[in-house]
Amino acid sequence: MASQAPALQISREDRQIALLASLAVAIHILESGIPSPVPGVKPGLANIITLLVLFRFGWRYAAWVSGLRVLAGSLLIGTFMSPTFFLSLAGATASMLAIGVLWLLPKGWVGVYGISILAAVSHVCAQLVTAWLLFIPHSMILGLLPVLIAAGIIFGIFNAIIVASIQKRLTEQPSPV
Amino acid sequence: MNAALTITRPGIGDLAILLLCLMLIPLSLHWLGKARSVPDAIRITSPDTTSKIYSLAPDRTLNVNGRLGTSSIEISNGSARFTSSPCSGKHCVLSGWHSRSGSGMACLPNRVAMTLLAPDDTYDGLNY
Repeated sequence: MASQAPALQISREDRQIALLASLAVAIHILESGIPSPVPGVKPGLANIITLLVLFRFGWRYAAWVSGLRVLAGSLLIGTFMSPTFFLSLAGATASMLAIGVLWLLPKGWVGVYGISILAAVSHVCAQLVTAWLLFIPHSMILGLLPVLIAAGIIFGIFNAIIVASIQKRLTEQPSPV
Repeated sequence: MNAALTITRPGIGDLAILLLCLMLIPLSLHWLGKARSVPDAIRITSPDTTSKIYSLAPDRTLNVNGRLGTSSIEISNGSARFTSSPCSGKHCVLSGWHSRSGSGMACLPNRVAMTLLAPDDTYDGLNY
């Protein structure tokens, strides 16, 4: 008789993370269709989900959601292993590392605003350096840096306001999942 | 979940990060000024020689023979401009000084063109 595989335990947390990761992928795909007036300037709305997961489940789960979003998002859009994918991966990795450093600080020092701004700024900086090193090795590409950092700060604050308001509602009401 | 992180009002740490990131904007502008590639050569294309690269080092005027006559290109301080050309529109002369790498001008009626080149120039552009 064939031995039976041990039953996979799916916790309530796993389901919530899967749901949030799929939401992040959906936002990532929707956002890829939004035209941008300046190359590289995007609101990074999918990062809202990463930050929500961070505050509710911790850094490890946020890193999972962020990685899954980059991988599944690129597979669904059809950019897997293309320059877009590597830029996305570099940005996500840098912002998760930056969040990780802030996460190690004593709690209460930095809140959602600081984390969101630093995540957005490190995201754009890593993307630009990757683009410069791998795809457009011309120093003029660094001319985008001031514009991208400014956009990162603005959208970082914008996303933080959204995260703070969602987080407030989620703590007031029980989670539907 | 950490209760301290659910605060909705920004704290001192948040303001410090905001200031740090804001400071990066003028800093990146400063680095950019240093990183900008400086042209050190000029490529001149004419019906006679097709394409020839000259150094931008000594200030001088190059006379290039074109289809209609001679075009003069002045090189000064690492910049270049058309000073005269036997064309009717004089767009090449009116475009003035060119100082950035990749920048250039052509006198189409006379079939003479110039482009400034920097040592680290690999691509003019890339799209995907």
